[in-house]
Amino acid sequence: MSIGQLLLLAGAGLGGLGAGLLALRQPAVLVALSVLTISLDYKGRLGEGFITANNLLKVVLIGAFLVQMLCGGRRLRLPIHLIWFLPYLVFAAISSYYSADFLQAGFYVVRLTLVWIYAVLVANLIEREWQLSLLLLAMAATALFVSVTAHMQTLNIAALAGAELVQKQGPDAGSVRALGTFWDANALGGFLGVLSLFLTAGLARANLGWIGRTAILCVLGVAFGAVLLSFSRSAWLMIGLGMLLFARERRLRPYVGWFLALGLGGALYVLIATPYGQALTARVLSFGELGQDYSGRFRWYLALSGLQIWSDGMHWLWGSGFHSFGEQIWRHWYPLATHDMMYHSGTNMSHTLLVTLLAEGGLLGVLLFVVPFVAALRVLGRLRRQPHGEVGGSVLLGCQVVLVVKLVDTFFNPLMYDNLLWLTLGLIGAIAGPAFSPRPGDIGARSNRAALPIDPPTARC
Amino acid sequence: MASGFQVDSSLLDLLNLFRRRVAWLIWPPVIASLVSFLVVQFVVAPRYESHASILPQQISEVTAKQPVLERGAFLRGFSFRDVTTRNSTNMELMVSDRVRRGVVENLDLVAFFGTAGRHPASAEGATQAAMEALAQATRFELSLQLQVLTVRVTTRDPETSARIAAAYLTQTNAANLDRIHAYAKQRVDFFAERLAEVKQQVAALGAQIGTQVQRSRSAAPERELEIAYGFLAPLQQRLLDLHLQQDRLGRDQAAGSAERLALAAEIRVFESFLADIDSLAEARQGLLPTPRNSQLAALERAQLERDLDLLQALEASLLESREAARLEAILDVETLTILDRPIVAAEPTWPRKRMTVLLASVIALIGSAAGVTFVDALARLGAGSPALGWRRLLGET
Repeated sequence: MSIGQLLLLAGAGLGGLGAGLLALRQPAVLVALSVLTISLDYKGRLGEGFITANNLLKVVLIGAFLVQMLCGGRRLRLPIHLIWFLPYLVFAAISSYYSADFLQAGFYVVRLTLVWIYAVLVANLIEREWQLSLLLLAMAATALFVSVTAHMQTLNIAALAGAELVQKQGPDAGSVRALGTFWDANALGGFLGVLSLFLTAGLARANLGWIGRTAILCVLGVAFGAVLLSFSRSAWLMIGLGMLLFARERRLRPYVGWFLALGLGGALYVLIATPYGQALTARVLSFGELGQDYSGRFRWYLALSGLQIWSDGMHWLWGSGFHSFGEQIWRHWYPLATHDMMYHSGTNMSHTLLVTLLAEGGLLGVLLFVVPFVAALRVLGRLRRQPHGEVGGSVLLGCQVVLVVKLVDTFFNPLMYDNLLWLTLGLIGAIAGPAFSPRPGDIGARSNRAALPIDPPTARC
Repeated sequence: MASGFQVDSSLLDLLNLFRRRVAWLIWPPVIASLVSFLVVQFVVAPRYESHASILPQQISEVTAKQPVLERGAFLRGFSFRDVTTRNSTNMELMVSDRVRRGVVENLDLVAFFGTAGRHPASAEGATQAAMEALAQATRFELSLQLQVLTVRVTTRDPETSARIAAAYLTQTNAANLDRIHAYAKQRVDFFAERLAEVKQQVAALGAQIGTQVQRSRSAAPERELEIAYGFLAPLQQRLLDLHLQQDRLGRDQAAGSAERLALAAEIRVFESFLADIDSLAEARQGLLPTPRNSQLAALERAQLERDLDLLQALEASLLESREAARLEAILDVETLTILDRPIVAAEPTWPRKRMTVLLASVIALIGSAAGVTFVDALARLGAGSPALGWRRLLGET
C-alpha cells in the first residue's frame, strides 16, 4: 500500500471518527450535511454505486441514533404519516415474492426501508429551531454550490464547444444542458427547485433582517438561473407552481415582485450572456406541444404501457409484483420498449409514479402508497393552524408547498426514492413532534422562545 | 406513549415489543428462507445466460486491404465509399423476423423450445411459436453513447444460450451482407449504364475533334481565293480599258450620246462585278491561315480536347466505381466488430441460490418488523386495543 493510500485511509478514518462523534453530540448537523451530500451522490461512487457520501452519512446517523437510544435514553418517535407507510412496506415485501424480478424487488424493498428510516431519523433528530435554521443554511449553501457549478459548466460548454454548436444542438441535447454535480439535468432541476422552494419559504420569517433577505434572494437568483440552464421543464413547472402557492401567503406577497424580477433577470441573463438564448426560447415554446416531442411521447408511451400491464398483468388488485415494471414492459412491448426504457429513461419505472404503482401493486398498492401522503397533508393542515416559531413556521410552509409540488411532479417523474421528498416527510414529522408543539399558554405566540421544547435528551456515553 | 399524532418508544419499549412478538420476527424469515431454498433448489429450472457485445464495422477499413482495379492497374489502398453498419440498424436486424427465423431454423429451436407439440399440424405455426419463445429469451442492450450493442440470451441450457448468441451474430452479419450486396448490385447497374453513356459521349467528342483538325488542314479557302483573283485581274484590265475609252469619248465632240451611255452602263456592270469579287476575296481572306485564325482554331481544339479528357476521367472513375461495386457485391466481409464472443456459462444466472435465500429472509424480516411495529402503533393509539387504534388512525388521517 502506498503512502498516498495510507494517508487517504487515515483521512477517511479521521473523517468517519469526526462524523461519528459529531453524530453523537449533534446529529442534526449530519442531517444538514446530508442535504449537501445528496448533491454529491452522483460523484465519487464506490462499490456497485451504493457506497456514496450520502449513504455513509446515513449509516453513521443510524448508528449514532441507536447508540443514543441505548446509552442516552433517546426515544423513537413515529409520526402518523410515517406509521401509515408501514402497511405499504409490508405490502412491498410480500409483493416482491411474486415479482418477475425477485432480486431487484428485494433490493428495492431494502432501499425503501432505508429511505423510510432516513425520514424517521430526520423526524427524530430535528428538535430545535436553530437546527432548522442550520438545515436551511445547508440548503442555501448547497443550492449556491450546485448552481455555481452549473453556471460554470454551461459557460465552459459555450467556450469549448462554441456557441454555434450549442445553438445547433438545442436543449434536447443532453450534452449542452447544465448538469451541475448530477448525472441528469432533470435531477439537477428538481433538486434546485425543491431547495429554492424551501429558501423562498424562509423569506416568510418576520425576524429576518435585510442581510438575510438579500442573501436568500441572491441565492434564489443564482439558483433560478441554474434551473433555467438545466432546461428541465418539470423543474420550471415545480417552481412556477410553488410560487403560485406562495403567492397565497400574506407574508410572501411583498416578494412577488422580487420573484418576478429574479425570474426575468435569470431569463435575461440566459438570453444575453450565454449562447443558450435560442434554446431557451425553443424550450419555453415546447410547452405548447407537450406530448408531441420525444420526451413527451416517451412519457405517454410508458404511462400507457403501465396501464396495459395493470389491465392484463397478474392481478388488478395486487398487481404484478414490486419493481416488476421493467420485466413486465419487456414482455409486453418486446424488445424495443426495453431498449428505450433502459437507455432513455435510465430507470425500470414508468415516468409516472402512480402508473408504476398501479402496474406493480395494483389498486391495493396505489391505495397503500397514497395513504401516507394524504396523512401527511392532513398533518400539515393541522399544523398550519397551530402557532409555531418563526423558523418552524416557514419550514412548515416550505414542506407544504414542496409536498404539493412533488406530488404533482410524480405525474412526470418517478420519485419513490427521492431523498428530498423523504427529507420533507421527515421534517413534517419533526415539526409535528412535541419539541415544536405549542405549550398550553403559547396559543398564538410566534416567537422562537414560545416554541422551544424541553431539552432533548443527549448522549451520555 | 402514544399521542394523536405519533407513537413514542424507548429502546426498551422496542426491545419489549420485539421480545413479545419474537415469533413474528423469527418465523417469517425462517419460513421464507426455507421455502425460497426449496423453490430455488427443486422447483425453479436453472437459467443460463450467454452474451455477445458488438461494435459497428467500417466496411471500407476491411476492403481497403483488397487489391482492386484502378485505371487498368492492380493497386492497393483504393478507398471505397464508406459503408458503415450502425448498431441501431444491427439491432433492427436482430429483432427482425428474418434473423429470428434464421436462428430458429439453423439451431432447430423448434425442438429445443418444444413448440412442435403445441402446433402439431402446422410447421409454420411451430416455427412462429419458437420465434416468439426466442424473443422472450433474448434481450438487447444498446448504449447510444458507447455504440456497444449487447445480446443476452437466457435459456435452460448453457450451450444453447451460447449457440443462440453466436447465431444472432452470424445471422445479423449475413443480413447486413445481403443488404450491402443488394445495394452494391444496384450501384453496379447504375455505373454500367452511366459508363455506356459516357463512352458514347467520348466517341462523339473524339469524332468532333477529328473533323475540326481535318477542316483546319484543308486548302479550300486558298483555292477559292486564287480563282477569285484569277478572275479579278482581267476584269480590272477590262474596266481600265473602259475608263480610257470613256475619256476618249469625252474628248471627242463627234461621239454620240448613245455611245457614251452604253459605255457608262458597261462600266457600272463591271464595277459591280468587281465589288462582288472583292467582297468574296475579302471573305476568303479571313479563312486564310493567318496567326489570329490559327490561335482561335487551337483554342477550340484545346477546349474540345479538355472536354474529352474530362469525359475520359469520368469514364475511368465510373469504371473504378463499377469495379469497386462489383467487388463489394461479392466480398464476404465482417460487418460487425465482436467485442465479447459468447461463451458457455458455467454457473446459472438464475436462481442465485444464496442471494435469493438471504434476500428472502431479509425481506421477510423487514415485512414482519414493519407489520409488528404497525400493529403495536395501532395498539398504542387505541390504548391497548388495536381496533380502537385503527379507528383513531383513520380518524386522524
